[in-house]
Amino acid sequence: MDTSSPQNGCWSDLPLELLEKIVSCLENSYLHVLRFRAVCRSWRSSTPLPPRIPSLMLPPLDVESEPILIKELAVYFVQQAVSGTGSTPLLLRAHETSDVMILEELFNPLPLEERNRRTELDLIDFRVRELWFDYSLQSDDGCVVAFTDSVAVNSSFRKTDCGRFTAVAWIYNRSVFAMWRMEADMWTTTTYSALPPLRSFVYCNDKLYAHDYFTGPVVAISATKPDCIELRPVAQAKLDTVRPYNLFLVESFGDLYLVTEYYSEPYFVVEKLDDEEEGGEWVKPGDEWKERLLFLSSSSSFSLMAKDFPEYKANCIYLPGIYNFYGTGPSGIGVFDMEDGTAMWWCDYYDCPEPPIWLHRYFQQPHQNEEFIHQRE
Amino acid sequence: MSITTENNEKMITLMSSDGEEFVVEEAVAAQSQTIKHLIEDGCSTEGSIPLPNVTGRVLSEVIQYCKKHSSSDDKEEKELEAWDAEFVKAADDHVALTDLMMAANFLDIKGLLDLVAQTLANMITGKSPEEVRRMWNIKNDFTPEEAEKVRKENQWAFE
Repeated sequence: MDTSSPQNGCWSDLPLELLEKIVSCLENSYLHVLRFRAVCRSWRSSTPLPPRIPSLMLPPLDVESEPILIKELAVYFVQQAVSGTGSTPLLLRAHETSDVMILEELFNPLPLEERNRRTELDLIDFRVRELWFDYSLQSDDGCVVAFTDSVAVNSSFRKTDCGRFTAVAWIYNRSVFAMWRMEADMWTTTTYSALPPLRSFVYCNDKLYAHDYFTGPVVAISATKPDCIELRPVAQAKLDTVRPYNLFLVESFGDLYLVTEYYSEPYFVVEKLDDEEEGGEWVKPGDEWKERLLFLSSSSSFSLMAKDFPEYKANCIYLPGIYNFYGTGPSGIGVFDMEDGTAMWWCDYYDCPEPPIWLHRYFQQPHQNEEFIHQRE
Repeated sequence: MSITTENNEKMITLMSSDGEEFVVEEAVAAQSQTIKHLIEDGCSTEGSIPLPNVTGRVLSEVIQYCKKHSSSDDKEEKELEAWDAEFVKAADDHVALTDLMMAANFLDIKGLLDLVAQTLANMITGKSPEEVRRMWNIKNDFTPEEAEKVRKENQWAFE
């Protein structure tokens, strides 16, 4: 008999140093450590809780301003632990207010009446996976100094390669565009007027990209000197006769994609950046999206491998947390099928017989799937 | 006892807790800092090195890992990563992995310890605490008060 192993395969008896070693592999994730501590007494006592929301204090932009706090917002995939009941997974994003963890629903296909019963979620009863991180910038007194969609980072400051951590932001109330690199521990800033209105910042292979909000071309951004930010055009987007409604840049498994959203058919077109060194070109992607999912919103765009999430259909664009016409909160979610070009939507509002008016442009048909149909009374 | 092979590699003998003997090249065994120190202290000159904390079954796996890692250089990093992934997959039940972790810890093989710890961490992540307990046969030994505290900690509010 193996006398060195914990008795009866019960590894709650693992020596403390080995439990600590396993915890160190949980990447300082508040969620993972919290759940590790929920297993048994010896695991609980082996490790203290890390801070709820990891944050990083960045120096002020200049002598007159406050330090800037960058906060991580985790996107979770939450699923009932009992399998086989056809439970609907939820996509939630966590943030912290006055010492409480608050969950925001990003993608929840449950009918409204079922959802409203919940004011809190016992995460202990669920399977929870971390999918993605969004970041927000705040001044020291807690005020948001920039919209979250204007922040891009190229690695997590919790990870071991955090030396590469870079944050970029439009600081609207100061009219500056700023880049901060952990390696240099300094801000590179340029005034608002010196740059075109850039949107959809994204890192891909350590390069920062954005697109010009009005004219569309995608640029690569680099900070060469402390006071100089250079823009270099990459692949020219094809001139289209149809005006796009929105453009998104998305990094997916090492490639850069341009997603163009239209008011009418074809609604969404996905193109891939090909061979940037040789002039670059936006080309039709290969078959890769048949194995991937794309979540797309102005504040949180990411892709997943479909095989890890059989609950979602591959080759689809998921549109979480669509805000309603009045901007009073999420009112619907949508799915666009890249394979056949169809779109589906479902909407929360009892007194909203039609989807919000601007959703009309692409969400023509109610969802046919019984499980997802919003039952109106 | 040390033997020398045709290639002039110095060989040493390791003995597991259940009396199994393994003859390996010194370079392979020296992946273990513990064994390396024992060799440096001259413990290998008389007979085999006894490893009272490691069974033959586990030791043969450890040696497999050490052989692979002593024969590969940095250029083969990708291939080595793939090999590591297969290696832990082959030991893919928690008892084998915890045994392997205990052995890696005792023998002080950093690479193997990191690999197994990460594998175990990955196996926990995503699962509910109850699933983790069931899967690894861990008793829920919280008092009712503690259990309530744990539940509260894991109870997050909706907007």
